[in-house]
Amino acid sequence: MRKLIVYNVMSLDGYYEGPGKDVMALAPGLGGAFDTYCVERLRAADTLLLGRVSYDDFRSFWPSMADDPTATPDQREISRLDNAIDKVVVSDRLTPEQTKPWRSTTHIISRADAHEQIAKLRNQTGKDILVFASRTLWRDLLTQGLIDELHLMVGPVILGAGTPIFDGQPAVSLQLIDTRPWDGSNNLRIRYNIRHKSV
Amino acid sequence: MRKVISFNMATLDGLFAGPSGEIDWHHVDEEFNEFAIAQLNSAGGLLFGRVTYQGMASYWPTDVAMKNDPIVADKMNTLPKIVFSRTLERVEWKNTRLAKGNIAEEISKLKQQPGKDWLLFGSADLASTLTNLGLIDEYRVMVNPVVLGGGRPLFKGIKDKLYLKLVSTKVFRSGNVLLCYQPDRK
Repeated sequence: MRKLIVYNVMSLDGYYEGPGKDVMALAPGLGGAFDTYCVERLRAADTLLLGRVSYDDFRSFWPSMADDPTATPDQREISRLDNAIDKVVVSDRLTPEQTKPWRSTTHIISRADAHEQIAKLRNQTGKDILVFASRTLWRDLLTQGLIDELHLMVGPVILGAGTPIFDGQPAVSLQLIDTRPWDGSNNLRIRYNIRHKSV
Repeated sequence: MRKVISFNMATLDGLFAGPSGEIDWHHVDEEFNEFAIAQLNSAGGLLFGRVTYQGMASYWPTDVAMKNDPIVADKMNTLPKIVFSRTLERVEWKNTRLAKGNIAEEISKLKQQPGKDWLLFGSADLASTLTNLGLIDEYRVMVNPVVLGGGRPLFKGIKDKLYLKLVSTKVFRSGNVLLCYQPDRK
């Protein structure tokens, strides 16, 4: 069995994005640490598990970054890794035609099959399964006991409003693994093991 | 010039209390108490809003507090305290002054005096007022490994998003993580 790891950013006050789904509200403070850690997590994974919204966001941004001279080395590496990794998308509406240029590396599973398919994937041997962004998806997986670790990059900002990263209390307990700062960065990455509370 | 430092226990989802004010999720142990004592020893005084003041004032002077937490109780009782409230008529906790006037003036005056830094515990409304006035110099948030999913947000009524500089962090054996920030007003 391998690990299913969720990596997300949040503000100090627990928001995933600013008001009006403003994902850039967190950006000014994130800087390079966020990308550096993203590269690290992608290298440790062989499957990227995404919800529809995040998949579309990434597919419209990352594929060409590998060859973009204005991109940072980390961004180019994220692009190469994103393009190569097997991507599993949970969606009832996404069609293979809508997966270009990731068609050959994208596998679509329906919402009805998601729990069973993801549990099966997780029971296989291999590298990590990485969930990035995809908040709706991972909050559901959290309640299903399918997430092993939660890695949060706490950005140096108080947003005061926005979309909360958690909504409702999942029946899990969190166990701190460690924290990690980056030189010259105001971010702190906090990592937790997830223990499912038996009902 | 001395600083005003806010300190709070928080959940991972940014709450300082449950929907009815619950704080039974606090991870408190010997290491936390050592930290709390060191923090109080470095403080020149304590600032409160009414709600937090009433909670604290109904506990720390009691025999139970003196028995369970003698060192912390002694510090809490002897340190100078200011409570900001328009509705309180008097304060009975030792060494407490009731401030009904202009908050910005009171805090500015306090900061200009020499001496140790003052701590702001809890007091979410006062903390947001002071944050919006730019009068908090350091934010210390002890993130407990807990998700409540609903309750009272630590930061509410924040007018403009506030960018921060991470000053220090400390991991506790209980799984708590202390994050210390200063406002980054460029």
